[in-house]
Amino acid sequence: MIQIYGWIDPKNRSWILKSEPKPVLGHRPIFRELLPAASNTLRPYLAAVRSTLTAALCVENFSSQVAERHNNPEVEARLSSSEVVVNPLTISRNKHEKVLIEPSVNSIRVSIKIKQADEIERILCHKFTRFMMIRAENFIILRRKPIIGYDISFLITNFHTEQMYKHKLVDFIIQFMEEVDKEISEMKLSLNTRARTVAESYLLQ
Amino acid sequence: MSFRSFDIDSLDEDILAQDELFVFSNGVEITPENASNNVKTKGIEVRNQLTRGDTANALITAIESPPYGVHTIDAKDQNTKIVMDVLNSIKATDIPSLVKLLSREQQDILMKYIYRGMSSPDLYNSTVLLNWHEKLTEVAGVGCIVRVITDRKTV
Repeated sequence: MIQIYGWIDPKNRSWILKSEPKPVLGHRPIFRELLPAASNTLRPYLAAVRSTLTAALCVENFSSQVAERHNNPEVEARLSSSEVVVNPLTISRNKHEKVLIEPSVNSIRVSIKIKQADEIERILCHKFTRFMMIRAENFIILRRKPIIGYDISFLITNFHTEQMYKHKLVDFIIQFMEEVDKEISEMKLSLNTRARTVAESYLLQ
Repeated sequence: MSFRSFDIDSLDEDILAQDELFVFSNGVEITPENASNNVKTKGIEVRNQLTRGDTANALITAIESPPYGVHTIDAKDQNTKIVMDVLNSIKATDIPSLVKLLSREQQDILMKYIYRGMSSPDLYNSTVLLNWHEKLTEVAGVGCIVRVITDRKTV
């Protein structure tokens, strides 16, 4: 059974949803292929990141085995060959957007690769993440340097999970992933608008 | 002053090496050649089942007894490719019913393969894998993911 999402009224050039009154002869059906494609993978991608983060955020206090009376986040301190660092997981939406989660006994490191389609978005993303990483202390869970191959990294330790709600931490990271894409598109739009007005006023002189 | 040049950590008896981690988690060592041969025969059988249209058994054959080991990298890559072929050929509507048929160990192994596939998004289709991940988490729960994170026997 082919799924129809609504109808297009060609005379009024409007979309009519399925829940509204029955269509008139001449209305064209909207198939899945006509829907905007990008949102297809966003929801399962964020759901996968959410469930993986919930699973990985099982951290507890663990003193350093190397130096006495020290307490280090083991994901930063040890190589993956140690028994306190567990398997890293990648969740990818496509080649250009992925999340790397490296858990360990007392900390996890979440690295995000943000979608950057062209040169402008690359520059904007770099500046935006740099702005945040300089103020990493106020962010609490942000790491000052991203892992190589990714744009931004978070480091969440057992002390953070003791002070803050785990589900809220997960919510924050998911919301961050959604918002950062929106912010960068907004910045790009305003950049292009500004450039256009400047060029116009300069050429009109 | 020569004590400063001693490598005291290598003399420590309690130290755990990388290969020992695998053995201590009930891993059995197979030689890389044996593992590759096993995977080849498995690939042929899975292909036969797929051409017959027997997707449920194809999935179970593909994920049963994966080539665990520290040195069996080629066999692991081969096996991942076989599992990805099976996952891509199963229709999206069949996924929930198939996932419910699997036992808990099989669900864990399937989840390991999903993450393994997602770590190379240029080789394998991430959309399909994300769909599988969602349906599998609905059935197996977050505990499945925790077992994948902590199991030293990696796929």
